[in-house]
Amino acid sequence: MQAVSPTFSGAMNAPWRQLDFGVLISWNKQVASGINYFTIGQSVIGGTDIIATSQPGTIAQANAYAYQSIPASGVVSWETSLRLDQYPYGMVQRQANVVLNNAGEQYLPASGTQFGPSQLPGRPMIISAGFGQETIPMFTGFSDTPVNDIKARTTTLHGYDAITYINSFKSTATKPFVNQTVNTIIAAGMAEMGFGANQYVLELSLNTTIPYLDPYGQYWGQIIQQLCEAEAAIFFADEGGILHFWNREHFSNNATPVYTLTYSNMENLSQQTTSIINSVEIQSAPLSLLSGVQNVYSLNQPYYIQAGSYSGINAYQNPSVESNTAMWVTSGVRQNQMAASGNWALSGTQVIYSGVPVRDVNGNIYYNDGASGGGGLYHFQGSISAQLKVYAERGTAFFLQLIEPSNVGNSPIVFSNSFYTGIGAWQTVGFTYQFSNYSNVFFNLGDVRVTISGTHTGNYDYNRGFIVDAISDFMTASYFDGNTPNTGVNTFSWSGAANNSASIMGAIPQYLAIQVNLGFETFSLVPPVASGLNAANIAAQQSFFSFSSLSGTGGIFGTDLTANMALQAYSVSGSTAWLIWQNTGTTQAYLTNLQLYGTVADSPSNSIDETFSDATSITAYGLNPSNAGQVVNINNNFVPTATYAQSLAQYLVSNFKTPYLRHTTDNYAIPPLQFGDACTLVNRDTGESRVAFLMGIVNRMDKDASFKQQLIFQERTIQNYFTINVSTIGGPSVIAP
Amino acid sequence: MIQLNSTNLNRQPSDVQEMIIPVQTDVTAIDGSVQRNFIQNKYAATMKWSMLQPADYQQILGFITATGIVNYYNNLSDYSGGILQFNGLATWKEQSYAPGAGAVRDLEVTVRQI
Repeated sequence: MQAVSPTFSGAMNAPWRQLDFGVLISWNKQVASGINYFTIGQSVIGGTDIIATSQPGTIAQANAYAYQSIPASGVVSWETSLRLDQYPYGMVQRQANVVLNNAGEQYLPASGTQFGPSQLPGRPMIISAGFGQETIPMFTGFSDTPVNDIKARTTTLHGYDAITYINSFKSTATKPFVNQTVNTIIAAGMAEMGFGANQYVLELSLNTTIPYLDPYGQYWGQIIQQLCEAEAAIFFADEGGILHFWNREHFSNNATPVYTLTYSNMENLSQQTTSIINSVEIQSAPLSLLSGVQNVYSLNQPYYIQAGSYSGINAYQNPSVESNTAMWVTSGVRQNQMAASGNWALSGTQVIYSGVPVRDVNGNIYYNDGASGGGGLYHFQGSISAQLKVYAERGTAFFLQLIEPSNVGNSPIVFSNSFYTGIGAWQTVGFTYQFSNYSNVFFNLGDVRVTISGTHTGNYDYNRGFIVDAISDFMTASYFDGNTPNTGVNTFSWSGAANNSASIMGAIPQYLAIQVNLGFETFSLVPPVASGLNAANIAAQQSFFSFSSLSGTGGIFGTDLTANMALQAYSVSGSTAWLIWQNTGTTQAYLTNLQLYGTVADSPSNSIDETFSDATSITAYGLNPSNAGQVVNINNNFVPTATYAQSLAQYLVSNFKTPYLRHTTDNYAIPPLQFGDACTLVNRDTGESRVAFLMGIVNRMDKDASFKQQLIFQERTIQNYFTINVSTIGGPSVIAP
Repeated sequence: MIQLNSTNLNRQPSDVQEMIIPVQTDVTAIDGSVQRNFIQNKYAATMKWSMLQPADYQQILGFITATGIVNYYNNLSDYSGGILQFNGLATWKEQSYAPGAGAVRDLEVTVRQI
C-alpha cells in the first residue's frame, strides 16, 4: 500500500470525497530544466542529482522529463490496470488508457496545437489520483500513438509501463555470467537498460547460482521471465515506475493485512476458486562452463580481402597569398602541413576510410564487399552509435560534419557540431544515427566523410593539427596536421572554390571482417595467431589463421600472404564470433585457414527431468483441472540442478494443490492499494474474515466523478519459512522446500 | 437585472430558476452505505418569457446562437453575494404560434455553466 498522509487517508475514507487527479505527458520528451545529472566529484551521494542513463529517451529516464499537465477539463476519463494471470509467477505488466477531450481539435492535423507531438509514440506519461489537493501515482510509463475518434471528439492514448521496454530490449553489451546469482544478473540487465540502482528493488533470489548465461542477443524481458519461472518469482513495475523482483516467499513475509473491505465499502463481491496445480514436471538442460579448451570453428570457405588502396583529400589553397600549404591524410602517420597564422579558413571533404567495418547495435558487422570503387554497398538497418576522436596539436576550433550515407537520397548529415579542443587534448564527440527511415535501402558505408572547416582572424598561432581517430569500430587513426608555425604576418585562405587544387593521397588499408557461427556457446577464444600456410608449428588448441593468394607456387592456396594481414580485433558473443583483419600489403588475398579454440558452455548429456504430483489432490479434483488435465510442464534451463527442480515442483504443488478462494470486488476506490497487498475481506453472509492478496487491480475515473476500482484477490498459503537468526528451532517455521 | 453577453435584454424573463449542479457520483455499498465522489459544482439558469414580440424574441435568440458560449449575469441573484455570473452553453425550447395571428411567442432558455 502506498504511503499517504493522514489527511489523504481521512479524505479517502470519508463518505464525501472531493476527487483530484493528474495526467502528465511529456509531449516533446525533453529533459526538464533544473535536472542535474550526477557528476563524480560534484554531486552528493544521496542528493537530488539523477544518474544519467545510458539509454536516453527510454522509460529509464522517466524521472528526468519535463511533463506538461493536461488540464482536468481536457481529460474525459482514465484507466489503469494490472493483473497476474493463471500461474502465480512471471512478469506482470501495467497498462493505462487516457481519453482526452478533443473538442478543440488540438490533436487533429488541421488546427492541432498538439498534433505533431501527440502523434509520436513513446511519450512519457504519468497518471495520479487522490483527494483534495493530494494525489499519488497510479501509472508511470509511455504512451502509444493515439487513436482519434472524430465523432466523439476524443483522443485516446494507450499507455504501457517499463515491462514493455524491458521485453523489447535486446542485450548487446553485457558479458556472460558464470555461476552468478539471479540478483546479480538482473541488476546487470537493469544497468544495461539504463535503470539506476534507485529504480529497482530486488528481493533475494531463492534459486541457486546460474551456472552460465550469455545474454548477448537475447531480450532481457525473456531472460527475466525465465528467471522468474525458474523460482516462481514475480517481476513488475509499481505505480511510480519502480521495478520489483519478488521471490516466492514474498507473500508469506508480507501477509499482514493493510486494509479491510466490508459490505460497507464494497459495491459487489464475487468469489470463485483459484487454479489448482497438483502435478508439475520440470525439465532443464542448464548450460555450464566446461573445463579445458574445445575446437569451436574450422574454416569451411575462403574469404576475400582486397589489396590496400589509396584515397585522399583535395586541399585547396590560394597561391597568391600562400604557396606552402597543403593538406592530406595518411594512415596513422602525422604529417606537417599548412602554415599557420593570420586569417584563414579551410574546408574540404575527407574520405577517412573506404571499406571500414561498421558494427550495428545488434552486433552485425557490415564491411566492404569490394564493389563500387572501394566504397562498397552494404545493407544496413538499425542505428549506429560511435565516437569521433579528434586531437588538437596546438589548440584549435573545428566544425565537423559526418555525412552518412553518401550519395544516396538526400545524403543526410549524421553528425554536425562545432567544438573547441585544448592543446594536446583529445576531444571525443559521440553521435548516434538511426537508419530506420532508410530500411531496405543500400548505403555506401565505405565513404564516411568528415568535412572540416574553420575560420580565424588574428595574428597568432591558431594551428590546425588534429587527428581524426574516427568511429570506435575503425581500426586506425588518420591525421591532419598543420606544418611548422609561421610567425610572420601572413594572410591566406583555404576556401571551397578550388584554386590550384591538389589531391594528396594517403594509404587506405583494406579490411576483412567476418562473422562465423561457432559450434558451441563460447565464453572466450584462445587469441588467434598468424600461422602461415604451414600450420604444423602451431601448438595444440591454439587458434590460428592463414592467408594466401588464389594461386601460386605455394600449392593450391598460392603464395603465403599471412604476413601482410594484421588481426585488428576479434570478439565472441554466444555462438557467434567476429574477426577483423587489415591487409597492409598491396596484394589481394584469401583467408584460407582459420581454426578457433575456446572455452565453451554446454549442456549435460543427461538433462534434468523431475516430476512431483499430489495423488490426494488428483483424486479429489482431477489432474490439473485448470491446465486442461495436463501436467504443468516447466521447461527452463535456469533450473540448475535436479534437487532444485524437485524443490520447485514440490513448492508449486504443495502451495496450489488445494483450491483457494479468488475474490473480485467492486469497491469504494482506494488509490493507495497496490499489487500484492494483503487485505481482509469480511463476508457478512458467511461470517468469515479472510486474508487474501491483491493480484489484479483496475482503477477508472470518468468525467462524471465516477471513481471505480475493481480488485482481484487470491488467497495463498502463508508459510513462515525458517530464517537463520530469526526463527527458533522447534518453532512454527518450516524449512523451505 | 439579467444580462446576456453583457447586454441588457429588451424584456426581462418572467420566470428565472437558478440552480447548482453538482458533478458527482454516488456509490452504494452492499449494505446500503453511500459514498459520494465529488468533483465540483456548476451553475445553471433557466429563463422563461411569455408572449415575446418578434424583435425581443430575435434578440434573445441572437444571444444564444451567435457565439456558442453565453455569458449569464444576474445582479439580483439570491445566491451569496447577490451576483451570479458565468459562461455557459445554452439550450432552449421554442413554442409554436398561429400563422397569421399576432407574432408573439413564449420562450424558455437554459444556460449551463461550462
